[in-house]
Amino acid sequence: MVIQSPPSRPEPPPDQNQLVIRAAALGLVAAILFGILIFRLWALQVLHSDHYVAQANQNEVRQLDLPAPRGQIVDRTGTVLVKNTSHVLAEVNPAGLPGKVDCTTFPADQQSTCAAIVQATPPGAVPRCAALQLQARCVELAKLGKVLGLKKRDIWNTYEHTLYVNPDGSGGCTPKLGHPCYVVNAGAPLPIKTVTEPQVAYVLERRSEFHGVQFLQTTQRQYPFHDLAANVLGYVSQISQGELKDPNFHGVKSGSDVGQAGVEYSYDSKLRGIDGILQQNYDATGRAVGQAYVQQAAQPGETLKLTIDYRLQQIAQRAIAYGIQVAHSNAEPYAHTGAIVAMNPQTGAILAMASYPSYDPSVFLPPAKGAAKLYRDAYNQPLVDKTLEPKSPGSTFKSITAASAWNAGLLGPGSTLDCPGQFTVPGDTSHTVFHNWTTASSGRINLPTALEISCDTFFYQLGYSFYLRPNQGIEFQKQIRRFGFGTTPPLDIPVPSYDSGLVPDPTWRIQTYSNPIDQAWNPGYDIQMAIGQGDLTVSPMQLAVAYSAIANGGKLVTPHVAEGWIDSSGNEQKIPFAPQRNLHLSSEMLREIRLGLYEASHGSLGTSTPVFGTFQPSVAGKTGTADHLDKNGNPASPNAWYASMAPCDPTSCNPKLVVVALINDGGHGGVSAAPAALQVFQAYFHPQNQRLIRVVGSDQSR
Amino acid sequence: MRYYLRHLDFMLMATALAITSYGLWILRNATRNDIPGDPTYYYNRQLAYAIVGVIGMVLISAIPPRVFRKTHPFLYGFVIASTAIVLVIGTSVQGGQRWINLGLFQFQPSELGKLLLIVGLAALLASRRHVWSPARMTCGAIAYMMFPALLVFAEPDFGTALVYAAVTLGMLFVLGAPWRHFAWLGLAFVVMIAMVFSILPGLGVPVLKQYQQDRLTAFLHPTSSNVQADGYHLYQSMIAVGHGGTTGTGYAGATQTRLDYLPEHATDFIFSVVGEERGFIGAVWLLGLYALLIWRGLRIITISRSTFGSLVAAGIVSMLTFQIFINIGMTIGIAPITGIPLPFMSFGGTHTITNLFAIGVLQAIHVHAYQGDDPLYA
Repeated sequence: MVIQSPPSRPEPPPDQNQLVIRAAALGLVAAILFGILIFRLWALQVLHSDHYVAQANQNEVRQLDLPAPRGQIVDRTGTVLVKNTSHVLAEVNPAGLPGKVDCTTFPADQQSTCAAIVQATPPGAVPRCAALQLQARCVELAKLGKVLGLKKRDIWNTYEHTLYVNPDGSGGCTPKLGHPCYVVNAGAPLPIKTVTEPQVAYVLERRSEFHGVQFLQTTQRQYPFHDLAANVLGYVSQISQGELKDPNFHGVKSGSDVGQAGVEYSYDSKLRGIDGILQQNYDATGRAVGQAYVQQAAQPGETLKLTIDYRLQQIAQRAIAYGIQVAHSNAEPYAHTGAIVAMNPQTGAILAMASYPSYDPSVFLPPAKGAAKLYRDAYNQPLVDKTLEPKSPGSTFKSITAASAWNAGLLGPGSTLDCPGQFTVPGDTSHTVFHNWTTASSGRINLPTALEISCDTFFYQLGYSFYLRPNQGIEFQKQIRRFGFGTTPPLDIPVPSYDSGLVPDPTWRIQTYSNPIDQAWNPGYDIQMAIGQGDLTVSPMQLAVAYSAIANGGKLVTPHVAEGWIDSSGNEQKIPFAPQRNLHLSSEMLREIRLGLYEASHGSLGTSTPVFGTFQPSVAGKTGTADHLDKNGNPASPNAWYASMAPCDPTSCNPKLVVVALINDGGHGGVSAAPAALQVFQAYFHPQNQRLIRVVGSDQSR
Repeated sequence: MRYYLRHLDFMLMATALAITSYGLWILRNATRNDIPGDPTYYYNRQLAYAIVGVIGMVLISAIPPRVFRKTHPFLYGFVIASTAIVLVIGTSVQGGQRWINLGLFQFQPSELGKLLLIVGLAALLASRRHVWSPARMTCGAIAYMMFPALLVFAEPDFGTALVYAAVTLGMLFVLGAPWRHFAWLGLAFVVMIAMVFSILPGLGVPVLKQYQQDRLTAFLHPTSSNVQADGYHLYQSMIAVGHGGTTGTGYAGATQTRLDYLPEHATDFIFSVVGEERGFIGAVWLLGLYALLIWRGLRIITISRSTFGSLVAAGIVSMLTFQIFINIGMTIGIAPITGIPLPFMSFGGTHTITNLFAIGVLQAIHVHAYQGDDPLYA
């Protein structure tokens, strides 16, 4: 009925009077409503305005970061290697310190010096405290240092070290003699030191004297095992200006802590979690009002599980010290550093990666005073990871030469070569003689025997045969490089590019030397390289990866220290590490090389038989006594090497562990390095036996 | 053409343009920091909407009202169809499906529906006057309004549904419905409030979602509720308006509306910006302009010789008054939060254009005020 139109007819006109009355009534209603609004506005804006203005001033809500707890780092057994402790950190906010330098406040006799220094300062920067001590900012920092128990130079350095700029104003300056740096006094608050309650109270009672000092309830890394695997773990400190651009730190805000080395760096993004958001009200003077409340919870970092076995790592670090001791008692007093790598040859998982001497990463926690000492220790260089440092490998490299020669067709099943006391290149007008370690000839021997007795001349011949190949024997270097030498190992912690080691070849000679005599590629270079001497340098890590290929049948594994992630519910997610490549090593070759290694540690003429002859399970390993020159170019004590795998014997060779030990300046490999490796095998295969195995007697063989 | 120009209500036009310009100016300041790198994002868009609306207003004011009357079934059909469609394909924003995304433009059917409903209802009432009994007129009007209102309520847009109701009441009143009808309607309203807020939920039938209920009652106790939730906007708005004082803080001092204390400062709470930046004087100035607008509308009700015209004008006046009161009242804490925009001031395409079209319709009625209802029309 509603939608049906009624019949058409003219409409009556509207009732004007009623309309006017009704419209007026409507108008009255509107007027009343507007009146209410105006009355209310009057109340708010005129009568009670003060109240609301006060509210407005109280009203600033600011968002703060709620730092996410950083993930722990545990070893393969679940033992915590790095955790967090909570405490109060004193920070200094650059905005709170007097920024400008006022020379008029200086004593009269120092005003001109002050003016001169200020003159040289680039705009926007201020002089360093060390350069101009009486700056108001430096005086206040010194006062704070006194409260916190820091010397003034220390607190100045702690505060300024991420703020340095060059005289032209560009970032990233390191103060050196003759190269001044200036300070840009701006940015996020700088952490100074963890503090105690009395110290906090003292500073807070004297707020006006300590502008810019604030306290942060925070967490810091703690290292329950002190110097264990410091080279693997790395350390954490505040992100610097330059690092903000690093893609590894994508999304990190200025003022946050990030991993600076080791796994703390490589796995930083998952370790650091995701910061939450705190909301805090501030009044007009910037003071916090009420309690901060969590607007968004922080997502804690995940726990990183390493492949490292903390017990084995401890043993490895101690074993190097033991090897050094043995070296000292064998007329090698210069030994003081070393490395051990213990790796699962099937997967590349690293169970121990010891660099000696190690250090405690907690020296990098604020105020990081001890860090400078580490940098300055040029004798030990504890921050240099010895497992990655390239050195001449000596005879341990003979296995690689053998494999290379076999792959190139220079050796075959049952091949034999002479092992004379010396070797000269046919037709060499200089009559250079390459000696074996013994003058006596060993007759015609096969490859396993050559490895057992470490016959140099056997391998010289292989080196020379390579030289005769096309393109000055570049085939040799190609084969060597397939084993990963000459390239930085694809480790999941940062490896400096200079740790690639060197596989010398004709091109390298030409690029490195300028006079034609040095630039020429002579047979002697291949000959030397064949026994792991000359310009060839490899690191213990590279050698471990290559020996793992021999152990596992031909896979060049990817070495890694990270096993997987454990999330907050305890679920573990493994990190996959596919092998680098397959080397396609012939099983016959592997049999001969492994036999050679076995004989080297068990045969009557084996160079490490005194150490491993009776050890069970069988360890097959090659010693190396690498000649090298010291910094001044004089011959130094040889580096002692041992590259080994176990269990491996002639009937069955399925190694579970590859150990490479290096005692720098340690003398003979069988004397210093092999006993160190023995400790590691002992700990791995006989964990219940805690004692060190002392090796009686020494062996002069190579 | 000359006739047209001579009979335009210039004061109405000027007032509408004045309020729109004032709105653009306030909006520009309020949204300068909203989108980093684009300080005129909202201003540009609102300017575009205003220009489209003004052009429409001018064009519509030339159309004789009987054309609207002729097309009213289609207009009503469009209202029903568009508010139904938006429930199905509408873009969901903050839990409500009110817009249809047309690419460049978000179309809000419930806003345009207000104007179309007014025209449709006016046509219905004008033609049934003296045909139906007053009771049937009232019930018929309520029913006519109910369909689209319920669809709008389902979006859910409680505020706009209320506007539909207010418009209907205003039109019935001007039509001449007996006073007692309004008493009955008032009673019905009270009963409905009781049902919706306590009786039905008590029986386990929640009509409004909890957040809607909280929003509506928050104005009664803004400081006691959780400052971060429903009472937040309200309380922050009151602080902003109070902060303005008598003369206002100016742009720089308007910390409450400029910084992120009032996220809705461009839309529902634009009046808070006026209150803070321009103070009591600025607020009263704006209210004065609105009052002027309403007065001109009321005047058109009385001078129109056609019932249809008067009813349309009554509907538009009711719509504007109701929205102005509820929106401003909300910002100063005396009305529930309902999401109704402030006419000519709040940022938004559909309602700005609709309100300017409505002024155009008022102008059309004014221009043709001396023409009675077309005798052939029923």
